[in-house]
Amino acid sequence: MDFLDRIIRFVSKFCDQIAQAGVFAMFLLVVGNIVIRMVWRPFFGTYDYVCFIAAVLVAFALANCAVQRAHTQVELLVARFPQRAQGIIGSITGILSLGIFSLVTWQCIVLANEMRRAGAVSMTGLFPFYPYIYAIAFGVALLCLVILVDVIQSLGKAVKG
Amino acid sequence: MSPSTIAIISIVLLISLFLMRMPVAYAMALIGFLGFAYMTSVSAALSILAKDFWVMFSSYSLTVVPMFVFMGTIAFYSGMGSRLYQAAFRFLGQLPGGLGVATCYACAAFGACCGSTTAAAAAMGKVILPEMKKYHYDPALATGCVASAGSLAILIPPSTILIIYGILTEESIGKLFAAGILPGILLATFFALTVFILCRRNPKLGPAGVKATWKERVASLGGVVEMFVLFGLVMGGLFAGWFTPTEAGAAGAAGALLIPLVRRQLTWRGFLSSLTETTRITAMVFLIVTGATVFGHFMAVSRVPFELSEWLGGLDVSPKVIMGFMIFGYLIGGCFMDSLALITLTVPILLPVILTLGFDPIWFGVIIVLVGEMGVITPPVGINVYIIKGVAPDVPLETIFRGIFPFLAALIVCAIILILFPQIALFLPGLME
Repeated sequence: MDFLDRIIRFVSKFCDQIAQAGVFAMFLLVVGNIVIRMVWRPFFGTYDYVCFIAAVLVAFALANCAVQRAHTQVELLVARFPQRAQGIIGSITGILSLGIFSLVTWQCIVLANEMRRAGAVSMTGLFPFYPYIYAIAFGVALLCLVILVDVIQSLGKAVKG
Repeated sequence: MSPSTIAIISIVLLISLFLMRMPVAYAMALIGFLGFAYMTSVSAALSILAKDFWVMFSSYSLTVVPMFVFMGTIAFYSGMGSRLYQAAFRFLGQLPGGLGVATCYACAAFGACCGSTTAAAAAMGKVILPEMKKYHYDPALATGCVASAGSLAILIPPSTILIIYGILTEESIGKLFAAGILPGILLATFFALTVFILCRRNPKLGPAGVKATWKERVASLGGVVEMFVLFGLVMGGLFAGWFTPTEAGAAGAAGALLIPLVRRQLTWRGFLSSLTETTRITAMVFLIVTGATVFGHFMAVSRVPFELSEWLGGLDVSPKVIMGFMIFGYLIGGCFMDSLALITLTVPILLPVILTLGFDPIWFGVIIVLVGEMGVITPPVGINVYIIKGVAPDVPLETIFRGIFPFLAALIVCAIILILFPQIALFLPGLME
């Protein structure tokens, strides 16, 4: 369990570093486009690139954000409960979260497959969409693993108190 | 069951999940999905789930978030807040409660570079609270002042909350930013007046500081000049139509990066930390907005927002009274929920009501940000209060909350003035027509 937790934390942090590189790449691209269009003409496909970088950076940052407990939640009530009650509630909400994000992962793979088969591409740059939707599926799957570790920990709390 | 009954049950379930500490974004996506599946079909709900994630994660309009957050975190890690405070203190420090007055304006200025209340409260708290301690300021006044003035960052552009509100309502982010400027200055002045009046009545609360020479004052202006350059670049570019909001954020981040690089005030570690912070906040914001989009689709098929607006529009009550009740509801909700979550949850439901009642959505954006500011300083959630507690661990939480009340009164007065005189918020956006 501890090993699984460490592995997932390591992968989440690594993916977050890719997301950080994405933020900087997006920043450079947008600023570069502003500068170059003043002296020559805009970069071709900037709009598409910015959208695709955003999709990848957000997907890759999701899991680490969950590891850092940075997804907004209302701490008010449950924090006052005994450990066992916290464990039971955490298990229930964790399983529900796992359910919804597993569905998102599955449906993103389905959507990416459909886009690949249909040959769907962006309007200006004619870049295919599907690799970025697979990236979202990967990011959400990683988030599912983080939630799974939380659920196991909450179940342990619920049993041991 | 009628669609309205299903929607009401879903909202109750959603609030229950919030109270069970389920992250807001997760709960909105879950309830939105289940509700949509019940109202239409499971296959339609599954299809819309993946599409919402793809469309929102790759949304160009949302890319404004990482750019402005990056700008704000660079400003935070490069110590811009400290320079702004030094300048404000040199000019205002000799007044009764001068440090507090300087704090209010320095926080307003820092808000012009950073759109996060927590970053503003942390950055300014670290600089200002030790100074206030040195001058024997009353701990309640000192901490209450910094926590409250830190909340100015979400009203004064660039503001993360106004960006999200603009995306949810499809209003111009440039106009929303412009709408926040005058109310932000007004509120900073109200906060400063609150400190001044309190210290005038009881000088022991905040003794006047030493009067700076004009040479010292002029020397401190560097920090203010860089803030004006950044603010001018971002807002000027948006006003003039040179930049899209994303480009304005990136240009602001470039400025925020260049200034400390020239001054040698940004370390490599600070730069990396600003990137880490940016991805964390970006992921949190994108997921909340995506969850709200899934939930919004469910609300749309339930037709509850439209029925609610028809019902409220047909009531024989002044729209201002209804607005008063809505603001009261936001105030109560803000005590328990993060303002971003509250806004993403309620705006899709309440926007048709606002339009039916004849209110300007830009003005409403400013009003709910003001109410959101109250939420970040009121118990029991009051995130800024906990940030200040982290900066000043020796001050009890009750003392900080006690210090908040005069500033909360100032916030309420400012909100009433904005309700009575919406032109204060709408004057600058009107110039952009």
